[in-house]
Amino acid sequence: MDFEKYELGDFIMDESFHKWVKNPSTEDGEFWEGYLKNHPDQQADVEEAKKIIQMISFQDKSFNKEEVSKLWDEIQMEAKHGKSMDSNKFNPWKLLKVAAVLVPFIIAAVLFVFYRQATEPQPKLAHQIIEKTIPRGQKLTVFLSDGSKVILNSESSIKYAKPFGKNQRIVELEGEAFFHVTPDKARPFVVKTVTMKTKVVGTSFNIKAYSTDNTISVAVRSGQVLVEDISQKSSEKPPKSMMLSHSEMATYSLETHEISVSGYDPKEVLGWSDGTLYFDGAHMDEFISKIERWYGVEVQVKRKETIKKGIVGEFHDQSLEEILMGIHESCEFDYEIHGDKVIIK
Amino acid sequence: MGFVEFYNASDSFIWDKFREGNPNAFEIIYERHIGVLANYGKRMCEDPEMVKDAIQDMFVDLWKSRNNLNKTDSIKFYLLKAYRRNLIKKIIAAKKIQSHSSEGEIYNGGFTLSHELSIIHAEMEQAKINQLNQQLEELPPRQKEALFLRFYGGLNCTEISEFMEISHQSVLNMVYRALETLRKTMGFKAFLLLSVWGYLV
Repeated sequence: MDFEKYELGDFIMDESFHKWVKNPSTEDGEFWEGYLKNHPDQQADVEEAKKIIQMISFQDKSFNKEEVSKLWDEIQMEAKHGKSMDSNKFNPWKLLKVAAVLVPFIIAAVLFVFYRQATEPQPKLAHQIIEKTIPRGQKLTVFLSDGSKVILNSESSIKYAKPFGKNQRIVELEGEAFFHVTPDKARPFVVKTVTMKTKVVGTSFNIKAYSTDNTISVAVRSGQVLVEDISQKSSEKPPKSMMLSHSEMATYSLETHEISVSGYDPKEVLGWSDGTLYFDGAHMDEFISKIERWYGVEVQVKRKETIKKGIVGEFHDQSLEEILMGIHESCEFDYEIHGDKVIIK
Repeated sequence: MGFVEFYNASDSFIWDKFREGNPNAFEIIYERHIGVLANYGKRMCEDPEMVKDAIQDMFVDLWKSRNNLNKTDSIKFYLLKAYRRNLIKKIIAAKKIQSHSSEGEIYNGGFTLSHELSIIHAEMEQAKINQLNQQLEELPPRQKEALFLRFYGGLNCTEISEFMEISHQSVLNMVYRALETLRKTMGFKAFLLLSVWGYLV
């Protein structure tokens, strides 16, 4: 393009010029800054064009968050409802006939798709999706592209894009992880679990969201985080959300969809991230599920009476044998360890 | 395919996944464009319920017809165009009910830009800002719409011309003309837009 013939109006209408004025730290920026140095005669036009572009910044009249999510619910409901209307005219015989005709085609189509996938290279994306999964008995520390640190607990996985997107840093989590997030006001850090979304700017916090548990908990160590219920909400109500400050913990019940906020014991909730296994009056079930994950073992309880006494203890980098030895007397149980199987008697 | 995969994905990739019926792609499309649609709609139409209804109808139609959609490189452009059609249809229908007017009545456009410019330059006096705002509001609706699409929506001239169903040159004219009006108040040095003005006279 012939920028030397550009006049004020041309600069204003030029897309790349526009981008530079709105956001100087882009590739367009480098070009325009270089260009300006070499064309001082156009300086006046450029300055004026910049002023006008900056002047015309319209007010943001977006919907608020509740409106946005309510509208989305309505759209989804109507989109789905439309589908179910068709199935009202359900006729099994007709379906069978249709199926008899369609089956060979479906098989052919499936074969074709598989054939194509095998022969054609997959389209490449500009980013890379990274998925880390940790089995029982192990932990992993991951550093993300923005410098944030994630400690992943046993039997957990995270998924994220590398590099992150322009507007948000999204991580999907299943299981438990401790996050230490590098501050970046322009790009909130969002952790998505099955039913909950946790949004922060820069802070450290722990999320526990195992699919086998019936609660999800978010415990904040420093800074502030916003948690939001993103499960199927009713269309009348806005999504439940809550702002948490340091030393607060939100617990979300998957049954009642209620969020409750309380304080928490840092040793009990966060201890795992520096290798401390801590019990403060834990029930047997809780104790068992923790050590199963921690040591990658399977625990069987072979006794009739339940162990009522709460388990108390703090163990730092100790073996399973040492832990069981330490507590079996006070809790009155016997145990055997056979490889990765533990029997409590 | 989860949410994360779409993160840095291009419009055409997300659109293709949407056409295949991927619900996450649908949600990403909604999340990314609800802002610009709301902003456009609220300036086209005073009734906030109508603005929302048209958005809802547009997305539901989009989902239902996903199998028959064409490819696109700019989802924003595609949505804005579909949305404009839907919204104008609703505005015309409402007008008919209100005024019992005949079939033949044509929608002659409406676009509001009032008190938009609040934070401009710190050194500018409030009186001047008010004057500018008034001038902006007094521009013909089509000029305001073109200005908005260019400066807020980020559409380029070709897209605006297709969008408003006018020639490329008319878009340039409209935007330049609007800017010229504003410029007078701003007290900048003379625009050198003679070549453009030539077409208008």
